[in-house]
Amino acid sequence: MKLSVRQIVVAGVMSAIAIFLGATRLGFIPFVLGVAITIMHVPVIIGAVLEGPLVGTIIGALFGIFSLVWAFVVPTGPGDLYFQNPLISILPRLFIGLTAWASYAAFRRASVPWGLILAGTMLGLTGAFGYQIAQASVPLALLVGGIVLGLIAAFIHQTFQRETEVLALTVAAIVGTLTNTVLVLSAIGLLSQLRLVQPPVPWGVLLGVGMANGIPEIVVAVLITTSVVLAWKRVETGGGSQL
Amino acid sequence: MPEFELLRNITIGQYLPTGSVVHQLDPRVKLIVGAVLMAAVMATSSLTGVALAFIAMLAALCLARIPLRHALRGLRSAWAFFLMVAVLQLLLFPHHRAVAQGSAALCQWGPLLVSTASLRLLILLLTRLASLILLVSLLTFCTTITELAHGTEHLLSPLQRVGLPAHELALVLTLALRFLPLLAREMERIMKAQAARGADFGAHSWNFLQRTRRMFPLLIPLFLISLRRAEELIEAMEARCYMGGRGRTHLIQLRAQRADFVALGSVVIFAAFLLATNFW
Amino acid sequence: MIVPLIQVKDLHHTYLRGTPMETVSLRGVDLVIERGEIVGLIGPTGSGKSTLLQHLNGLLRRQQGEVWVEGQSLGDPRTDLRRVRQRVGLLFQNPEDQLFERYAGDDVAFGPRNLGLDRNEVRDRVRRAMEAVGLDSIAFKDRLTVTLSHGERRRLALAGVLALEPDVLALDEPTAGLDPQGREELLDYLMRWRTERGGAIVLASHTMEDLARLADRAYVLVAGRIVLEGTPRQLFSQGEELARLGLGVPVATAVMWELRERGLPVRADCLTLEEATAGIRALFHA
Repeated sequence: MKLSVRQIVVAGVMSAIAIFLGATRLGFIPFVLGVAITIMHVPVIIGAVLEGPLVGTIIGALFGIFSLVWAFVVPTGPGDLYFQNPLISILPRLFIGLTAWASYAAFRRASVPWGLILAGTMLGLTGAFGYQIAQASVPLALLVGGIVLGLIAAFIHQTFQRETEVLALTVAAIVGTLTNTVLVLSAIGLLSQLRLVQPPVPWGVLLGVGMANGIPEIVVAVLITTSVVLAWKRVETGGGSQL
Repeated sequence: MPEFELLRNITIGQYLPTGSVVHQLDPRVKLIVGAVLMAAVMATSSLTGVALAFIAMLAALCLARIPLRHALRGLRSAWAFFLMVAVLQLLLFPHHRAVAQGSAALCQWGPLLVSTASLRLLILLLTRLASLILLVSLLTFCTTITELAHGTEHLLSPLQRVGLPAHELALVLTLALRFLPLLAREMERIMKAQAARGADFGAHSWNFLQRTRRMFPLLIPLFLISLRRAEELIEAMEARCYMGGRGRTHLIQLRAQRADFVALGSVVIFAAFLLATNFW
Repeated sequence: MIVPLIQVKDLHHTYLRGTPMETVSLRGVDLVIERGEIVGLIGPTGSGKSTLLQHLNGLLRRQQGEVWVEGQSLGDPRTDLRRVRQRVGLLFQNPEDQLFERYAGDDVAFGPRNLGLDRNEVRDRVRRAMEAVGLDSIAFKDRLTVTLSHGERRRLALAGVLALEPDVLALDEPTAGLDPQGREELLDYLMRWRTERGGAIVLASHTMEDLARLADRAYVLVAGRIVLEGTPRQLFSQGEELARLGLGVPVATAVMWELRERGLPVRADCLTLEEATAGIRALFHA
């Protein structure tokens, strides 16, 4: 495994941003009733999109280590109790870079064979999980199904339009954020079931938190990721100023 | 943010150079000792054990010549956290199971039932938490960034045989940590500049989307400035012929001294002792 | 009695108060800015110039001392600080870093939009501001901000502050990092703004040539205190004093001195290249 100078520097800089956002509370955007949405995983997504999955994984690891240390040094919410466990704070974050990059790369190619493979996979997965989820909550199943169908439709649309950067970035941000939310909450859930973490959290609560926090987090992540990367890559997106 | 002083936040858990024996330990030992102690404290489930651990942490802080008031300030400011943990525990405690094992109810506060069993668990949990927090604080008080990176690199270097680029990873860590104060200064400047143009960073918006938009004058420059600096740094490193870690030597060699082995040995013994208290 | 535009009395400022990294930045500063004048703030790095500027528009909260803008005390809780920030436009060092909108026109419009102005007014202000810095608004307003050159971005940032239509422009090292042509242009735009708008300018710099060219008056700030005050000609004629404080003089002034030291009968109080050239030429005609 070789890391080029570029990869080292970008990984370091993006990790610094993630830590900075966490340490100064700028990474927390207040939502409702005192709950906050976090954007500290966005540098992971951006790093992965710009420099690849290895860089994304490293940034994710440093982000995870920071949230672990911070949960000890400055614990503020009940969540910090769980982040004190590296299986919850570090392990899930290692995958954000990978999934974000993979979706970005896949959607950038915008070729028909890729599209068909992807569409088929997602339809299959949705079908399999949709049944499981529908058992727990019908609205959630419909939501997931809606997102997937929407993505496929957008993908097909873009395939015939060649304007793939915006879509690829959007998908990368969605997938990256989902990875963070789903894996972290699942880790908490699994460890709760195995009684490896006190107090154990029931799946129902996790699902609620996931939906309440997850959806706005996805929207915010998409907004920031697209703005930053499109600006950095000097992509002409048409339109003009709002004057 | 009326004071615009971001540097304040980054300085929590900062290095406090007191020149004690703890400070002078080999960073590899500090990291290993930290990990071992952390694991041991987390695995301790007896009241005596966690009480011992807490006292040991205080003793270690004294040994490191860290003023106790300063160290305990961190604990004090986390009182809300401790309260939340306590409430959560009491809410989710399986009382019926405990009653079967002979626990007696002590007092009731609405949905919160305090029994001998849950009280015991509460004290255990909170003391353990406090010990862990003090341990991590101790580590950050006594280890500099350079030491951390150096130690990590050395500890990871055996993995180089399986392809893990230890030096490069340690460099990423160093870079990130050194970049932090730079980021704080730049962001302070940007925050003030945007405020001078009337930005309010979402302070008066109720809609989270609007709030996010209002944070853009900070967030976009945060990333763009950092990426630009990154480009400059890449050029600078390449101009100095940086070619990766293979064959690189260090100016400061890490050499384990007698004190390090003593520290290592005593911590291992203490950890074993802690685990033993579980069975008393 | 005419109230000065800006008045500062006994201003103190300490950063990170109460932490082990406390730093005192200002130790009792008094100054006055009148309408229409260009005032320079000279001082070495770390002397407190930036801190002082940030007090002039209420960005930094008053700790000890008083600041009055158009007769209003900034320490008074009834003072509307947002209005003060519109009246006193502050441009930071390397202001091109603050550009965040995708399109250039939108970034200039940020300030006016924050003032709550309607669309047409915003559009007019952006157009006027961009033209005041030499950027044709039709051509530039829809350009991607990141694709502009360094000099253009700096001028765009200045336009962003000009669009607030302030009465006072406070600038921190406005020409730092610009090439000579960019510097000339920027200084020209500033002079033009002062003439057309009649506003005052406060310029913090350690580029002595800028101050020699623009300032009517200047204060010398060292370690948080005002140590000297006067017109540029008065100040730069005290070369040894400035050198002792760690400051320089404009190149033209230094050259003329050097010539005087060697016994040539030239004027020693030249500030600009033109004056120096004229002085040297005069030697040959004598």
